[in-house]
Amino acid sequence: MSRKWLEKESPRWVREDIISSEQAERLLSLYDEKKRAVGILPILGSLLVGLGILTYVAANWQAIDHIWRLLLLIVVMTGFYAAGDYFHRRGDRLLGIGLLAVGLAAFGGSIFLVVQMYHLLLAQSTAFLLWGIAGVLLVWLYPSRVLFFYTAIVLSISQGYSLSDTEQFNLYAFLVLAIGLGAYWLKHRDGWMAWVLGLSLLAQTTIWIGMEEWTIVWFYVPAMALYAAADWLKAKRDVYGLQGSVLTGMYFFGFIMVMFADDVPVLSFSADERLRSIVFLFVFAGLLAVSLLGKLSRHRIATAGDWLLLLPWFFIPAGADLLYLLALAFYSLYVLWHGYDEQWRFRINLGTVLFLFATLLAYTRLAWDFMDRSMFFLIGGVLMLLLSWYLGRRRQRALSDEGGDDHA
Amino acid sequence: MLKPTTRRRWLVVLIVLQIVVLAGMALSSEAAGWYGKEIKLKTAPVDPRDLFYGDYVILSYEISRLDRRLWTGSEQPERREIVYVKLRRAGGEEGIYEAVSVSPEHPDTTGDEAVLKARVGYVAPDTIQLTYGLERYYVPEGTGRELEEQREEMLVTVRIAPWGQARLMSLILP
Repeated sequence: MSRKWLEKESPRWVREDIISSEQAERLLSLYDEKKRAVGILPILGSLLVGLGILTYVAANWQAIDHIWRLLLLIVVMTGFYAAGDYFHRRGDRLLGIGLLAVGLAAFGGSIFLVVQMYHLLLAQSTAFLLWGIAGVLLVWLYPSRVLFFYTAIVLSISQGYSLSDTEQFNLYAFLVLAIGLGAYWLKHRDGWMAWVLGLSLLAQTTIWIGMEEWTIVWFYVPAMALYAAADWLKAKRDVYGLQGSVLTGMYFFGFIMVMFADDVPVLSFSADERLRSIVFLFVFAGLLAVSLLGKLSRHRIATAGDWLLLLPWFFIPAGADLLYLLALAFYSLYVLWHGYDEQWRFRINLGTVLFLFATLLAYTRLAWDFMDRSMFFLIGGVLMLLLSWYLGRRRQRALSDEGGDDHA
Repeated sequence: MLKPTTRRRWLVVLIVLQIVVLAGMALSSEAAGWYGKEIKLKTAPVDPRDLFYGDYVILSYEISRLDRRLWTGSEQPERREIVYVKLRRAGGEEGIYEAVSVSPEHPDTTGDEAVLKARVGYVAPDTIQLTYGLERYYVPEGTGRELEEQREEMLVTVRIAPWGQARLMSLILP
C-alpha cells in the first residue's frame, strides 16, 4: 500500500472517529518511504558500479593479455564476494546480496573467458553448470530469493546449451537444479521460489522428452504429476507456487496450440499410436484422480477450475486450436472469478490480463469459418460485463447479509 | 541459521573452489599445449553465412565429413555416439594429417599417427558427419570479416595431449 494513499485517507478516518490522530501517525510511520528508497539505492549502486567496471574493462579488453584478464576477473570476483559478506554481516542484507550476485557474475564471466582463451566449443553447457553449482552453494550460504532465481536461470541456460551444442540432455544440470535448489526450497518455503523451481524443472523435463524423440505432449505427465502432488501440500503458498508453474507452462502450450496446432506433434488414436494414447490417458486419468482426492482432502475443490487448462484437448484433432483457445479464455475467466471470490488483487489482475490476451489471440489467429472475428470481441466483452454484474450483485448481497450499509 | 564467522569461512572455501575450477580449466588446456603432439588440419570451405558468428568463426574440416568406408565398427555408427578418428601424416611438407579410420574404440597408433575423439552428427548413406569440439575459433572483436574473406585453404594447428584432450592452437592463413 502506498504511503501517499495512507496520507490522503487517514485524516478521514480520524474525522470519522475510526482511529485517533495518534494512531494515524503511528500507522504512517510504519510505511516510511525513506527506508524503502534506501533499500533500493545500494542495489542500483552496486549494479552501476558493476556495469562501469564491466564496460571499462570491455573497452580495454583487447589490450590486456589473456592471463591478466583472468587474474583481473578473479580479483574482481573475490572482491565482490568479500564486500558482499561484509555488508551482509553488518545487517545490510540487500546490498550484501547485490554484491554477492556481482561476484557470482564475475565467476561466470571468468569461465567464459577461459572458454574463449582455449577455443573450447563443447564446454558451454558445462560452463553454465559450474556457474550454477557455485550459485547453489552461494544461495545456501546466503539465503536469498534473488540468488535463487539467478541460479535457476543459469542452470536452465546450461540445459539449453546442451540441447543446442550437443543435442543431449544434461542430466547434471537437471540434478543440480532438482536437488540443490529443490532441497533449498523445501527448507525455505516460498511461493515465488516454488514457481521458478517448478517452471525450470518442467522446462528441462520437456527438453528431455524432446531429446528422447518422444511425442512432445508427454510433458503432460510430469506436469500433471507435479500439479497433483502439489494438491496434497498444506500451505497455500506452496500449492499456488508449484501449481502456478504448471499452469504457466500449460498456458504457454495452449498459446502454441492456438497458433500452430497443425505443426505440433501430438498423440492420436491412429493405428500405430493407439496403445501409447491409451497408456497416456490411463496415466493422466490416474493423476487427475490423485489431484481430485488431494483437493477434496484439503478442502480446495474450488480450484478444480485449473483443469480447464490441464486437460489434453489435443485428442480432438478436428478443432484442437479452437478448444485450446476456449480453454485459455475460460481459464482466464475462472482466475478472475476466483480472484474476486478470495479478494485477491494479484489474481484479479492476472485473470484480466490473461483474458484480454486470449481475446486478442482469438482476433489474430482467427478465421474459423463459422465465426466472424468481431464475434470474439463481442462475446468476450459480454462475458466480462456479465461477470462484473454477477460479482457486484453477490458482493451487495454479502454486504446486506452482514447487515452492513454500503454507501460506497 | 549460520553464524557469520562460519558463513565467512565457507565463503572462503567457495571462493577457493571457484579459483581452483578456473585454474584447472586453464591449466589442462595449457598442458595440452605443452605436452600435446602437434598436428595440422585442413579446413573445408563453409557456407559464408555460417562462418562468422559474433566473436568467433565456425570452422569445418576436411575430416568433418568422412567416407563411410572408413568406419571399422561391426555395428552401424549412431547419431551422438562418441567415436575415435585415426589420423596419419600425409606426404607434403606442411604436415597435414588426414583421416585413416573411424572406430568405436580407441585405436593403436604409430609415430606419424594421432587420434582425435569425435561425436557423430549424422550418418548419410556414404558419409559420416563428425564434430571434434574444434569447430569454434574465437577472434578479437571485428576481425571475423577478414577471416571470412580469406576462408579458403586455411590450416589449423591442433595439439593432442597424451590423455586425449585436443586443443585448437592457431589458425594459419595462406
